[in-house]
Amino acid sequence: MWSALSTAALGHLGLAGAALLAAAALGVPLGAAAATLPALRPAVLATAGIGRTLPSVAVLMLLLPLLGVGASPAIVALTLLAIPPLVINVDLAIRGVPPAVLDAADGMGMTRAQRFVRVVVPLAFPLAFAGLRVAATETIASATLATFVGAGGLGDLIVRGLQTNDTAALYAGAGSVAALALGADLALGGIGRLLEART
Amino acid sequence: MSGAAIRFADASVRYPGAPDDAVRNVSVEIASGELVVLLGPSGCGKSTLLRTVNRLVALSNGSVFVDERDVAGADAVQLRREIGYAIQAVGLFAHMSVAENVAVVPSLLGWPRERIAARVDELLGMVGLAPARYRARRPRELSGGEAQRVGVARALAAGPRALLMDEPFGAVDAVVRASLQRELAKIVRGLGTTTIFVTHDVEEAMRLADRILVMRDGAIEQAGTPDRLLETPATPYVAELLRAGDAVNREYLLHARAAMRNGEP
Amino acid sequence: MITRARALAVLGSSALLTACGGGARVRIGSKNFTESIVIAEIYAQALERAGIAVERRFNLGSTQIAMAAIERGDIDCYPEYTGTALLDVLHLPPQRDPQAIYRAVAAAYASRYRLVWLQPSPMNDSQGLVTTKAVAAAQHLATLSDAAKAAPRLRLATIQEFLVRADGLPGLQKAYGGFHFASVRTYDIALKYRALLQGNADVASAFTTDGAIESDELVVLRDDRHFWPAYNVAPVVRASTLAARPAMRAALDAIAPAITDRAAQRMNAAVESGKMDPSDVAAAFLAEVR
Repeated sequence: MWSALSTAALGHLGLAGAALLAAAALGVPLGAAAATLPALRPAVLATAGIGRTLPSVAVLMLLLPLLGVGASPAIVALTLLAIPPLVINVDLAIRGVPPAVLDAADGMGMTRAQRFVRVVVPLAFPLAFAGLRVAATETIASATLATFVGAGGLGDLIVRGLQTNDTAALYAGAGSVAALALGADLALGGIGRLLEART
Repeated sequence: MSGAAIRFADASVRYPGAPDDAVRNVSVEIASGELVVLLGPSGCGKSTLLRTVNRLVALSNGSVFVDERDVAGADAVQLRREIGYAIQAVGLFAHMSVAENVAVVPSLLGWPRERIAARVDELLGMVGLAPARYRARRPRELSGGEAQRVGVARALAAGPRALLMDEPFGAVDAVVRASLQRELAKIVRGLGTTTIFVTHDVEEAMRLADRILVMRDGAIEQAGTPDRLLETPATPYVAELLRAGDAVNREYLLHARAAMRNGEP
Repeated sequence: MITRARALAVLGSSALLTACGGGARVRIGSKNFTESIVIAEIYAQALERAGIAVERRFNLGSTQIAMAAIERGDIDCYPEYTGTALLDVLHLPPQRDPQAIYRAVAAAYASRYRLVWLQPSPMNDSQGLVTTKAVAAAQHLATLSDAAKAAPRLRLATIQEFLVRADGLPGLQKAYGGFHFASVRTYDIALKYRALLQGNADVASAFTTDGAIESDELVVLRDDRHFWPAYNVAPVVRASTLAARPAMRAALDAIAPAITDRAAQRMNAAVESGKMDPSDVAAAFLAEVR
């Protein structure tokens, strides 16, 4: 059972990790765009708000006609679900930089790029990174859906426990998901603090 | 080092979509090393006029010259690095230490590290903050007065020939404000930096200014030394603003001004 | 006018009925897949036609869960497969003769669990491995022995239960040797064939009455060593419930012969592809039986 557990856990982390990277690559620029281009903001934030309420399995099933089964629809579904908290937090973080600070930066002769890199990014970082933590725990929890489409993960153990009345498998699967989510949250918290200290 | 001479020539500003000009046809010359105060109530255009000098606000008409160079032709970013800028909210960068804040413009200009470090210490000393104690502090650890001093140090760090200040002491309590005013005047006069200082506080204007430009509805109502304004206010508005008719008040203001000169609080 | 004697008689008989376990309604359960639900619905409607009140508790879960429920008395009756009972519940060795299997499980269930097997249906929902015509041609697969040897080149799509149950992959590996697949991925039961048809897998585990198998593209591999026994469906009933309601036997035995392979496949397809309601499908079936 232990080898099944570790295989499932590694697969689970792989799926969640891939989705988080993709979500960050898409969500951070989207959030920055929403914060800096007022015309875009209502549409982007409304979509993110709706995205947060979508049931993960429903999103997965909707992707099947497009992507078939396997890891692709699982990762795409998880990515779509991880983007909203990132977008929302990045937008809030950037807009939370005090206008006086931006004015001072401009007045001192920073270019827009310098202002963004030297002032906005460091000040926005904590709240934006918090969005990543939320996205990470939600993604790890949701990645159990991968079992439905043959993409593995800890959902396999949970389903095995349900299908064969095996409580050990059930607890191992569900407990591992919780442990991974908690672990990721703590690890990211530590990393966030380290990075903050260095900016 | 001598300060820059600043000249407004028929300067006007109208914000997009606004019905009126925020600044209307202002023409005035500010001599090198002068400490000029733009005095008026909120909405009179004083901050807008100030910000045309470093092109944070664009002119709709007319020109601004710094040492006879039209700012419109200059590179805005480079211009701003050569002009000090201090605002009421200070705008210190919370993620940087006091030293890093003060060092911003010198580092933008590419100064070598040792030169920057020495300059930071020099400026902190100049604004009355012991470098050893304040260098490594974070903005959130500073009082209002301390933060404002850091703001001034930051504005002067690269040795600008002009300094723009927008109600820098407005958020500070009266006791601290008085000492900040005195120290600022001493610093900029010692450096010879041309200073434009915006305020709505008449007493502050009286204490600091070589000349006061009284503003109303985007135009200069009267320009003159504090004594001249008190003696002969050009319009009822100026008279009302300064309460020039009130003898007690006049005495008070003149006394405040003299006390500043004598180094008293 | 109600005489005292009549009142006593009514009270007495209702007390007798409650004491015999079952109360007013017979509780019919099912496992959590289409065929089990449809057949349970057929049993339920057959009993109702015979004037027996029924309560439905379908979609319980796997075999283990259904067995646990009937042993505890949460349900009185559910459809079970002889092969499943033999291999998965009783862990007895496989046998060829469907009648012998039935007799063995009926005897064991009666003595071990006090559960009664009523008349079985001809329908044989055996397990199997299916592949596409294309893969069968490319890999020369016709029998399970072929698949056992070719497995390291093949990807299996299945459900979690198949990996664990005694008559699933572990049993296949013992009976045939080999069957070490290049990869094994488990899916939601509704998506398993999709993986096969879309090329994500080469072989899928199957139940031989699944609606989807009727497809032109799929081939069922022949069980040349006869690993999988017959899986005939029959009602399994608590002995106490049957004793209280003997009419159940006649009602269910009457419809048992009509549940054939073809009937089962058609009904499964009607629900899964045709999106019909199981109770409508069951009603249509019973209408044809009478």
